[in-house]
Amino acid sequence: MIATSFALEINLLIFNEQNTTLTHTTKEESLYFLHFGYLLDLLVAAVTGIAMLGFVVFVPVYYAKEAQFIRVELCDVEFKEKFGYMYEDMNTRRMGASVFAYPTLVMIRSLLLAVSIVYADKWPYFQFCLVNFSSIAMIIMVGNGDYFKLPAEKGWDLFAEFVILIINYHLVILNDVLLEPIARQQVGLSLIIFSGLLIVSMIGLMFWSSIKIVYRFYELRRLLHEAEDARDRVSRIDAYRRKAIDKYNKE
Amino acid sequence: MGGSIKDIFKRIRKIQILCHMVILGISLPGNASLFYSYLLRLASFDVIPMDYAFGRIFRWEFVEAKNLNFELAGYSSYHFIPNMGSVFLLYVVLPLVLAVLAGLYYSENEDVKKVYDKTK
Repeated sequence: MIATSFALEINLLIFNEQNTTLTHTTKEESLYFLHFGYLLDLLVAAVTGIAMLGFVVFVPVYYAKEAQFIRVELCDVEFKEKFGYMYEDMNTRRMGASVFAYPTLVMIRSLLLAVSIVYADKWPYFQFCLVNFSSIAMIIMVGNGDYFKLPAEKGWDLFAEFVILIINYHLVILNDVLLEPIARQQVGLSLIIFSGLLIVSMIGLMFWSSIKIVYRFYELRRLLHEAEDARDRVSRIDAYRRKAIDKYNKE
Repeated sequence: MGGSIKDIFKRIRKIQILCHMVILGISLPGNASLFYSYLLRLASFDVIPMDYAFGRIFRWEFVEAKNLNFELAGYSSYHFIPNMGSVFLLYVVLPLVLAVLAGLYYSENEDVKKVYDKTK
């Protein structure tokens, strides 16, 4: 969404492509509100653009150059506490620094999709090919490597990519192959079923993740209580033993 | 715990890719259009309708959407802020939260340090 909004803003700035029908601002109002709005809009878009492109350029270049160094650092506890968010759920033990290829490809794919949506709306087959090849690239990458700590994650990711491919083929058919209205409705129904399948599974997994967060929190609390109890018991046993030793010494 | 939150964002990203595929230059049949118009509301994270607030704060020139698919997907303008909707609030709230956390982190006051340790 961010990438698409950014691409639309660039479209407006560079190509000045817009369908302005009426202006409802007077000259006095436009001096403040209009210019302030545009300035803020440009500023936010620029910051977002730099962050997105920085992520795409910085992550692969940095981690590819420093892969050997990072491979050691990734397991470091202090480094993990500071920068671990990037690879918390990734299998760094098996894949090393190459796990960063996954978020980078995901980001590049989102950017390409956004750019194609905004700039290539006159060439639908180009868009279909782009979506198709980016999905296939993701499937090859995820299928060949162990990027996730949990093996089930790989399966879910591949499942999502396959469903995206199926939906893409539906869209190809809906483009200009199929013109009969009833057949289009039927393909639309099939499209809804496959989309629903993906959405239900993804939302189900999201709920599962949320339940896991709550469960982990309570599990952590229970373990802390147990540790405190154990510490109390040990100190009580120590005190009893000390008392027994003192009693023995006195006798 | 951070990993689990990341999981949620990963799923949302997949749904967003799915939703954006229907903005490709095709005309959808009626049933699919209706379905996706509801779905896009879910995926765009637009929990607070910001159109009224943006209309009061900024005076944009009235610009039509790029095409019908974009209108359906909620990209009713060419400008970044109106298209972002309530996600734009993150740009305002996030620096404030970061500033508060940085203040807590670098503070020398014992009470403040206690508060920071509790929030950790």
